[in-house]
Amino acid sequence: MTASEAHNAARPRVLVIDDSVDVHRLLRARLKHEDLDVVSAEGGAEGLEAADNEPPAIVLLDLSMPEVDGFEVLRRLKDNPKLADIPVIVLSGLSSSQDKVTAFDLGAVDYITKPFDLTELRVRVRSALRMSQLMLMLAQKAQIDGLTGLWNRAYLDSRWPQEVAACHRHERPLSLALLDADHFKSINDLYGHPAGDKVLEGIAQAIRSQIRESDVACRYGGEEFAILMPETTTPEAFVVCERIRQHIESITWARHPERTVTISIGLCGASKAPSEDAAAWLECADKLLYASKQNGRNRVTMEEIAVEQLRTAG
Amino acid sequence: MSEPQAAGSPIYSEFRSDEDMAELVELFVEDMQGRIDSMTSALDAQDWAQLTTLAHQLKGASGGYGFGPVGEAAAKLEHTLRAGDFSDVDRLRQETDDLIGLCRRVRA
Repeated sequence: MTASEAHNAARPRVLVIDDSVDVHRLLRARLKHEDLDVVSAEGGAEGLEAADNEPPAIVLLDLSMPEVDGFEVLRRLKDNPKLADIPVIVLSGLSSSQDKVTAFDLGAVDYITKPFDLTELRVRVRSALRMSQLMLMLAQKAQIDGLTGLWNRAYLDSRWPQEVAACHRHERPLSLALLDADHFKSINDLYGHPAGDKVLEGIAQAIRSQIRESDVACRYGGEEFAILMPETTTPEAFVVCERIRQHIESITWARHPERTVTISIGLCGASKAPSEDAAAWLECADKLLYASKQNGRNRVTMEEIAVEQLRTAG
Repeated sequence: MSEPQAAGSPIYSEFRSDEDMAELVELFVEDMQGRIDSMTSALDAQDWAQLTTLAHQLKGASGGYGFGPVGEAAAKLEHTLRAGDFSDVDRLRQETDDLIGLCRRVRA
């Protein structure tokens, strides 16, 4: 589960790490009417394990615990890329202001003083959850293309290697298509950039309408798009690409009804993802896209790849 | 801060009318005799480390269950113990007895 999924779950999971049974009992009672799932861990090591198994939306952490104390838990959470963004609220005694300072230095977002004041506890938990949701949204926004609303190149660059590695590990099929609008420059030149933008938006919409939930569509740059299709063999991906190609060809553009727009596609797929070399795979799709352009545009060129091919091509 | 209370008069949880807390407060009160016994043993054995831990736990829990005065007495004892001066056994005994006296008066 990703951090954003942990948030979007109907009831965000709150992981309470404290060695006192009383604290667990009290927090459960106090958070009973909040829309939260409270999970208890009675020690630092147990808490880290619980967080790693199922990353919570927020952690409430006691500082003074035997063996692995709260500071150590904080350090290890922040050292783990998978868990580093989870907000941590420190549960602290009244008297320990130096502890609070150290906890903030280590990356805690807030503290709650024991004994818990009901209202304060609830608003601090809510506020920390809201804040981290906003941070997530911002991080996501930075990976979305402003014009088309598709994922951007930065997102593809991080997601594609992960997808290749995952499909390779599980011997699952995977396909990658690169799409490029034909003669796009002439559309810009003839009808102006606003018209060009409309074409890009239209292509993005066409892609979105033809792909499935599990596919990932990106604006790769300029007038180039990429579609990442996990669990999809080359012939299956070809059907999707062909549908998109035909759909775009059939669009009547309000700003230039006399001029249709076509796209060329390079499709590179494998029934068992063969290699962890994501870059070589991308080059393969690019090469096939170029072939589509060379052979008259408005077409899909596909290739089924195998381990040996990629290794020698790369 | 709590009202001053006569020795022996019951101390009720400030959450006694809070439905969510009623059961927890009962549990806490039921367990109190165990805490009292542990503190008595630690005091008799002059096991200050153990007594410190017990006072610390009681300090954290009492407030949470709505027994502020117990929490304050526990905090006072913990503070004295943490200062590390164990020569004044009478004082330590007095503070522990004060705390236990309050503990005996808690009611759900």
